[in-house]
Amino acid sequence: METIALENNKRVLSQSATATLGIPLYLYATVFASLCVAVGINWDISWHMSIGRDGLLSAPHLAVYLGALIAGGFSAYEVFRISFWGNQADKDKSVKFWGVFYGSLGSMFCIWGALAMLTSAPFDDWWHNTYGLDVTILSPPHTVLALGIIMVQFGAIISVLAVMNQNQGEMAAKKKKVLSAMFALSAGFLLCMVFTLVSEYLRRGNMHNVSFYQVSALVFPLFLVSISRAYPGKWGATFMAAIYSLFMMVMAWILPLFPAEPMLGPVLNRITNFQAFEFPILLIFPALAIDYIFAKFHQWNDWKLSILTAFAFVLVLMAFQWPFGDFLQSPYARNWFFAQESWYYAMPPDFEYRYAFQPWRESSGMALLQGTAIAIGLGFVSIRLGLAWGNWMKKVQR
Amino acid sequence: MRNKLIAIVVFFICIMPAYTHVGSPGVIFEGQAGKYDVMVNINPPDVIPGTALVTLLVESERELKVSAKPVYWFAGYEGTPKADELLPVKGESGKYRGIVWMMNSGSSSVEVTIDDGEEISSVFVPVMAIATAQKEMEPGLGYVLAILAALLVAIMITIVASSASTAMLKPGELPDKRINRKKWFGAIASIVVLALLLFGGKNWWDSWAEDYNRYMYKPMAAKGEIIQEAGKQKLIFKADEKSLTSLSSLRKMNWVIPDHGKLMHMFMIRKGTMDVFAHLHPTRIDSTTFETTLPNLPSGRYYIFADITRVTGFAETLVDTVDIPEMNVAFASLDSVILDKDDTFMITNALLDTDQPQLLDANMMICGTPGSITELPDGSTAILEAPASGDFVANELYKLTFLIQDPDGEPAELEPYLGMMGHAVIMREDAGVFIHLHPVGNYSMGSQQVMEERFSRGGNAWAALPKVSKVFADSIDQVLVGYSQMSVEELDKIMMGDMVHDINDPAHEGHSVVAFPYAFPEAGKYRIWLQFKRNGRILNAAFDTEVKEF
Repeated sequence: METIALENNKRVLSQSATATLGIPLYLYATVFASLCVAVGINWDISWHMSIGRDGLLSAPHLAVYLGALIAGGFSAYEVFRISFWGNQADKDKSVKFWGVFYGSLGSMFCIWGALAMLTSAPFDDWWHNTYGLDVTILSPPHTVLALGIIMVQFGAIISVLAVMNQNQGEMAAKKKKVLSAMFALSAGFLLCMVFTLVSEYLRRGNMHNVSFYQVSALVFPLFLVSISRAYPGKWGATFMAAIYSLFMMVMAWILPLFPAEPMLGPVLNRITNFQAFEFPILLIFPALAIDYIFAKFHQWNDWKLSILTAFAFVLVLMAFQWPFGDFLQSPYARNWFFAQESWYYAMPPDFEYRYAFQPWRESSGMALLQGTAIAIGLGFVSIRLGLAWGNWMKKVQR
Repeated sequence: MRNKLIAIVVFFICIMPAYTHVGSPGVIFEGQAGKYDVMVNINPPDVIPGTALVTLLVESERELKVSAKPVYWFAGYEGTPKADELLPVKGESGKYRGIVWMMNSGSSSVEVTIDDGEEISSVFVPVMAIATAQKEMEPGLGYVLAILAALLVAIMITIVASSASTAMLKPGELPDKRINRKKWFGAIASIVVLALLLFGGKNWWDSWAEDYNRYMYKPMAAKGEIIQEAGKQKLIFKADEKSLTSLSSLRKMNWVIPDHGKLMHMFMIRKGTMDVFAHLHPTRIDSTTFETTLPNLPSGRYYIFADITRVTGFAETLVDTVDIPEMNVAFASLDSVILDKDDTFMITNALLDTDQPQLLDANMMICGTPGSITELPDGSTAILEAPASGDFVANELYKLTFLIQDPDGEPAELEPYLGMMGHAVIMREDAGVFIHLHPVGNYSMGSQQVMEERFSRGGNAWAALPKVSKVFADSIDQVLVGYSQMSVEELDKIMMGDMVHDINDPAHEGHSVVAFPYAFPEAGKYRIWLQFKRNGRILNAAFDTEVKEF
């Protein structure tokens, strides 16, 4: 009887090792955690646009907590396991810190992120009781939460990357494929979060304002470029932007299928279903440009490369997003696919500029030219930093 | 447009009295919801957005389904969310309680709905949704957050130091001197960057707190000034519209509407002793300036509390202090000097021992206390019923009940004064609490009527108002001219609105008792002034009571 049980266990163990391709389980867990928080945050914003009121244990919050719990829990377990019960091989692959602990850099990021998310909860609760329930995304406690989420998501990326960097050249094709996919996924989920953080500047009504492109140039290249540089294949930034776009679209398609009723007044827009957060901005095109330039001009030094990429990023994004803004304002975008009818319950539905650009916010002439030059300058800084970051990521071993 | 304006003006003729609110945040409403006698007590949030606690008291044998929801003046009835249920309070029959979210600042109301299975009835209670408190963090939470923050900083320094050094080593490779140097460099660099980030974060937090403080509700600033003119003392009272930092479009002085036929109800109370009390009705000189002739009030420093209500439903109290100089005229003693036919003042004994000389006058009135009989100037008497527990307790809802008897000891026959069977004014010794009450509660009835009319009209609240607020103010001035030409009976009839005071109605508890629902917000020494009318004469009485801690 006992023998059979042991044999069964062995079989289960070897099966699971095959199923995970020798990739540690906690890597799957952290990537899944990254997905959980991305879903939770998108859903939460939609919740606030449609229902308005939520509790500490609302469904979207639970998704975010689940992400924090999985990432923080698995990572903390890994650190304790290696530190106190791990073998030498495990310890050799880990970073030693505070004298007794061993852990991968990725799990340290995840622990930090989960702890920051945990800290943000009582802080945010106090904040709401003191300054009122904020209806903005960027407040100090939300920033602590966002930093936590970004760190958890970045931890997932670094965890996958370290395993890839350790096994360079000696990996089975399938394992490499799975790791690459996990890397792209975790990078894409991170991009969703970054977009969410700055989305207040990237609304439809702002697509003809140069500030849209300045904020985009400052924020996105840092991530797209570093991932493109660190990704073992040619199309890292493109995959990252594709995952982001697909994720945002799928959320915008699924959420409105569910009923929702505003629970807070005043209700100026009587809605009956969840309002989608945002259709993705067209980052896929500048991401393609980044990957193409990096592949084509790989012999250039990073400074020269940054200048070229900065021009490419801003001009390509403008070339696609500016006219796409016109399209999104048009009746052709008011359907389930583009979800542009989505409208906050506390905004009057007959708002004059719901589907029109406010003339005073449309950049043109010299202001547009100067603003674009500033955007390229910001893009240059972001890209150069992204390259340095990417170079570092390539070297992460533990 | 003109028709709309006339409709609005005609409507305001029917408007009833406002309330005053200093340090008394709760709103109490007593009245009818369909066939039910109800009392609603609302504790509005002190931070917006936040939640109001709503309690309903209703007498009913049947099981009721009670719900409440916020209805904003600007959003109208169409803009209300789904109602929240008020649940029965365990062990207290007829008591229902729940919360309502107030998301925006401004003039709002809470609609409480009762469904008994046969009939659905509701009442509107006006609530000013305003942020009034700036809170500090409790030490316990502060320590927890500080520990978590310290841990986050420590881990982050470790992460950065490791990222720059040991994380780059191949598995099994040992750190050399160069790697250790990098580790230290990473640690120091991260400390510098984190310090900068924390400093930036602190500034951000501070600016957030500063913004909150700037847009927090503050009463409109106002200045009282005494001038001597033709042997009379006049008070010029000027509201400073420029001082408004929040809700300025709702709070324009041109939007002021009459309550009880008066644009402003002003109370003057001598500071410290609280022995002089006047209820005056200044007239409007221009949109922000009001003026009234003062009765011969004894010299001293006075608190001024001036009630106003606006067409936007926003009611508030303007506050100031003013010094009244000595006049070489003997002041008229006892309770009243008729100035405007509704203006009164009274002099009583001092509430507190002070250095100020007592106003010794043979006819000076002595304040009553709960349970004792107080004699009034016309020989009638008033009793404030003492609470069952002996003392009034803070935060407990009472019906402050006054029994009035004529000189023969028979129940007195009260007449409406400013459209109500009685008015009460309550102030704590330090003026930290001041409130003007009516038998129906402490809410602004003017505000309530504005909102009911606005909700039944629907549509855009602002579009129904004249674009130039001065046009509105002029139309109101014309209404006031009309008032001044009416007889007391005509005016009372208008101001009583749909309130029926039929003495022959057996269900009516009579006109010798007047009761005011109220919960003292805090403990302390309070003086309660009661005002009513009998035989065409306005009578004032005052009572002192000490409110104990809950």
